[in-house]
Amino acid sequence: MKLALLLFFAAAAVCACTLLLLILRARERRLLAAAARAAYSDAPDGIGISVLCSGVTDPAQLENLLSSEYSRYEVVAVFDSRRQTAEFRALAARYRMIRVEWAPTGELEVAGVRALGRSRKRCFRRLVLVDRAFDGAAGDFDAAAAVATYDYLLPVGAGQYLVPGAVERLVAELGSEPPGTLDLVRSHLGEPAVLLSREALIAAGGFGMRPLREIPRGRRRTLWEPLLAPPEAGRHVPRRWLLLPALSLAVAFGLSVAAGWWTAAAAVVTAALVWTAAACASRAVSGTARSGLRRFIPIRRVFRYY
Amino acid sequence: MTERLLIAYTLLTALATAALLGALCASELQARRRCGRDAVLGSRYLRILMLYLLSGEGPVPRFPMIRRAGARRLLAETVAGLTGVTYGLDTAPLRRVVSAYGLDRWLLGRVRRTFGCRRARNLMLLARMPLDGAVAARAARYVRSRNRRVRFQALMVQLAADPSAALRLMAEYPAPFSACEVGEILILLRRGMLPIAYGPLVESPCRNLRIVGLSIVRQFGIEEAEPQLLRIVAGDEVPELGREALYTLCALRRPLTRRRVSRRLAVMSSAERKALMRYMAAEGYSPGLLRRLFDARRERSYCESLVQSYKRSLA
Repeated sequence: MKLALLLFFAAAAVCACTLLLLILRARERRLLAAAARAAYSDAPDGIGISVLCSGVTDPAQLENLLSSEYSRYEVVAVFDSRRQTAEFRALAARYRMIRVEWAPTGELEVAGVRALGRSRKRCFRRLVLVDRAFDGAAGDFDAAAAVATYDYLLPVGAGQYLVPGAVERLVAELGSEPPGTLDLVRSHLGEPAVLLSREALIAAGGFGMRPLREIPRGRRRTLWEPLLAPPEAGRHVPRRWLLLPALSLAVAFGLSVAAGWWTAAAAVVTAALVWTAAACASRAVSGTARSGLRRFIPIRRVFRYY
Repeated sequence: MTERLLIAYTLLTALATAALLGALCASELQARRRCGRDAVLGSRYLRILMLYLLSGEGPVPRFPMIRRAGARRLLAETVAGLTGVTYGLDTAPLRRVVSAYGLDRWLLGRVRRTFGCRRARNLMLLARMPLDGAVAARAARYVRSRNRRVRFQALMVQLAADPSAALRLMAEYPAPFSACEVGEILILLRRGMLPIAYGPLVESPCRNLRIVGLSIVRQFGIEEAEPQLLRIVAGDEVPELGREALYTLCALRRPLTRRRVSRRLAVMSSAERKALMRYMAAEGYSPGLLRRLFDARRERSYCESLVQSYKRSLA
């Protein structure tokens, strides 16, 4: 029993340290890419990214998604004008949408599209609005992919905000390899993000067909840094609240060592190591050490796309 | 035995936790220093440097707190930032500052002691400072590094130090340039540090030089390069170059109903042709031209629906 517990603690400690190392390496890459500036001023090799939105009704989130300065970038938002009439009208007025023709391209099976609109070129040229009867997020994403212009697609749901520089970071990752060699770039940190190549999606038959499973490992890339994040409001934990569990861990460790309960001591010190590694990773990712596991690894959501 | 293992594990993990906590505290202190002292010091260094540039001559100015931790890096970043945002700059005063405070030697030492992306970042900082040939020669050995990022930043150091040897350096570079690397070279070029002679580049047999030449043509909208572009489109040596030349023609909005273009389209895969159609539709090419270029019925209906999705039928 004790040996099994020891192995479990050791595995947990090794996992925490490995994750920390991966995140620290990714931080160095991110800093280098941010300093390189190439992706900020150009669209290297014509790499373009289309953000596909389903269920995004918050104007602040849409503003955030549209805020990227990258040149070959667009946001395709899918709305159901009958269910979300007020939001749809407000959006169409805010961005002065021009209604254009919707003709299915035949690449993906898309049903229920009522209208298609593009924002006026001189006003705001990167928003495409699809009016479609809602029948699930996968159908919305397929409809958005059918009208997307660019070769890489980033599906985004409600409450997922772009981290500053995320689009440029994705472009830098795609641009560092020969064209067409990457089909999937994903990140598990923050809100899980999946950037898919259009061809991989069409080969799989759409978002409803679990497209990620078909992509060979050699054409995938994992970034250990957040690309999408939940909104900041209401998530700050005062630092003094963290003192109590930290003190409890220290006291429990001291007592168990003094009493010679080494299994308990190993459990407590493993918990402390995992927490400290999470705080270090949090500092490396976001620049603050306050959060711990909850903020940057929402485990429940990680497997949503798989 | 298990008890001893547990004791050893507990001690080791406690040590690791203490080390991580120490590193966390150090990074917290560093972050506070960056927010407070470094922000103030950075603006003071910038002001001193700009006054020195305005005066143009005289002794090298004194920078306050230069011996404190992190101050030399801050000065190096300020010099590099100033060089990066100023056009037509006389770099002689900045070079005097760099050599008086030994910033180049200090950065070379940092490059030697670090690895991976951190080494590449130090090389990048070095490349953005006014340098002499000796420093570039000392950085040349990193061009043979196994790390792609380090290799490329070492090339950038050499390009920045000796722009007249740019063609030779790029041709001798041991790996094909990626799209982002070409983007970084073009930034040097736009700042006037490299010559914009696209002719020798596009005509060159070297893949790296050709790809840089094509990017120059695309960036500066050089329509006179059309014959050379058509020759590359028709050529069969490197399909990637043909594709890049075709996209460059589209970006220049040149007419594409040419036999050479049709031949290139015939050897492209269906996915590549569709990507090109989307690009052309976004660039504003007419449905008539798309219909002539893409023969198959399926492709024709695809490109028609693409073009229609940018228009509104009023009748």
